[in-house]
Order: sequence, then structure tokens, then C-alpha cells
Amino acid sequence: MKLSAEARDVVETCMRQRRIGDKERAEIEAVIAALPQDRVLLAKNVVSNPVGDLPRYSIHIRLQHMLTFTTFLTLAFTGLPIHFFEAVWAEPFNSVLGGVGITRIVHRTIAVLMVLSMVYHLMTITLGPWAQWRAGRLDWRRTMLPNWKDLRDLRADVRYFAGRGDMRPEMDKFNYKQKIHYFAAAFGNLVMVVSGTSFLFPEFWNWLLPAAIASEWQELMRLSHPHEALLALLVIAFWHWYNVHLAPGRFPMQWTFLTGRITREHQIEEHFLEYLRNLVELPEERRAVIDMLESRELVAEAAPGGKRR
Amino acid sequence: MQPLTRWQKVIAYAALAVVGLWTAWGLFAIWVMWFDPHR
Repeated sequence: MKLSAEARDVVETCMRQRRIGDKERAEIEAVIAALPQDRVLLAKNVVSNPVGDLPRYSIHIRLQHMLTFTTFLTLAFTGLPIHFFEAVWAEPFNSVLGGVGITRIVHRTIAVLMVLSMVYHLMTITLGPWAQWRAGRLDWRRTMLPNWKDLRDLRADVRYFAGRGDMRPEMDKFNYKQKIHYFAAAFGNLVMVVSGTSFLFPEFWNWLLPAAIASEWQELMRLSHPHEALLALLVIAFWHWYNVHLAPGRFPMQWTFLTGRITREHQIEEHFLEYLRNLVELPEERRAVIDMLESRELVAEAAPGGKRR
Repeated sequence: MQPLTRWQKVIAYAALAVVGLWTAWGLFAIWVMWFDPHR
């Protein structure tokens, strides 16, 4: 495979940061040269374990996802009967917990847990890259931070899905779609925390805000808290329906949130630049892909020892 | 893609059911907000 300029830069940066020696560098270059130019052919031919082959999420990220979804769903299930506590259908929901007073305590306690999970996440996304930077191994393209390439990837992906491209773009560890959802969820979280604290600590917000807007602020928060909750509940549910369960190659479920690993097929299709880093960092992955290419006679013709078709 | 074992299928379909219930709750919430009993 002849790498694009962006892919070449990713590979060179990774090899430099990992202080790869000449012998290993030659081995990596040979594997890359042996890859077929057609990434679809590569993705369709690799053998993948459905629970995951390649590392993607640390235990911290997996714990935060678990904390977020358990607190988020519990808050959604307790929030609605609190907001509509007078409604006929809300009474049995509140009665199960011991009355609306108890539902409120449960809701607020879980909300504190959600805020702590947010703090845990903020610590992970700052201390993790800081440690990588200290070790000289930080590549910003590997983080959630948006860049211009995301816009180009979006355009190229839309073209692909419109039938005007042969392959999806070479996307990084987090693609444009994941970044949009991540920042949407972060914004939603912030709205929920700010509006929630304005109910719990109205005096604080009255003290903080100018008197002219303090009362309107409370009104605004009372409107935004349930509506943002509903928006988040449905958007994130449908996001999971498609991206985690029903997208081709994922059914019945993508396992990354449990195992922290992504399938080889998925990595090549949606995160090819990260797959190249996997080839640099994981000697066993280089062996696995070479074995597959040789057994299926897919070694690129330009590679040393490659077959002419 | 290799096939899932029996237990892996149980976990995967249970997760699918959670998302189903989650969506149902969201749709119920839309219905409730549409016919807001406070109005």
C-alpha cells in the first residue's frame, strides 16, 4: 500500500514517538507495503473476534461510560415522575420508591454521582494526555479535539454514502461523527448540571447573576432541564441503535464498552489511521495481518515478494 | 467475523433490550410532555 501524506505522517510520528529502531522500522514498512491499496478488500478479509481484537479504551473510560449510562438512565426514569408528580401515571412510579419525596432524594443522589463521574472523566482526559506528553508520546490527532481534517472526512464520507467514492476516508481514532456526539453529550451534561444546581441552590445563582435576569434564569432552567433530558434520552438512544447495534458488522452489539477492544474489521473501516498505529505498536498485529494476506494471496504486488496478478 | 458464544449472545441481546426499554421511556416522555397535565 502506498500511504497518503496524512497516513505517512501518522506512521512517522508514531515510530518517532515510540523510538522504533531500524530493524523494526524495516519490518513495519514491509507490512505496510504488503497491504492491498483497496482498504475495503482488507477489511472484508481480516479475521475478527466480535468481542474485539485491538486496544481502544482504558479501564477508566469504560468505568466512566458505565457510571454515565447507569446514572443517566436512573435520572431519566426518576426525573419524569418528579416533573409530573401530580399525573395519574406518575403515582405508581413514585410509590414504588416510597413517595415523590424519596424519588427526589434518589434523583439528587444519583445526580451527585453523575457529576462525580464527570469530574473523573475530566481528570482522565487531562492527566492522561499530560502523562503521554511527559513521555513524548502525545499525538493530538489521537484525541477528541476537533481539527480541519474532520470537516474533510465528513465531506468525503457523505460522498461515499452518496455512491460517489470507492472507500471511506482514512479516519483517526475518533472520527467526525464521534466528536460531534461527544461534544453534544458534554454540552447536554453541562446544561443538566447547571439547571439542576439552579433548583438545588437558587440562592447561589441569585447571588451570582445580576438581579435583572435572576428570575428569568430560574424560569429558563425549569424549561431547559426536562427538555434537554428528553432530547439527550432520545438522541443517545437512537445513536446507540444505529452505531452500536444495527450498523453493518455490529449486530447484535459492539463490545468495546465492555472489553475495551475494537474488532480489526471495524478499526480498518472507520479508524484506519489508528490501525496504522496499531501496526507500529503491536508486533503481534503485524504477524496476524501478514499471515492473513499470505494465506489469501492478497499481498500487494508492489511489496517485496508480492504476487503479480 | 467469528460467531458469538451462547453467553455472549445473552449479554448482547440484553443490551439491545435495555436500549429498547430506554427508547420506549423516551417515547412515553414525549407523549407525557405533549399532553402536559400541568396545563
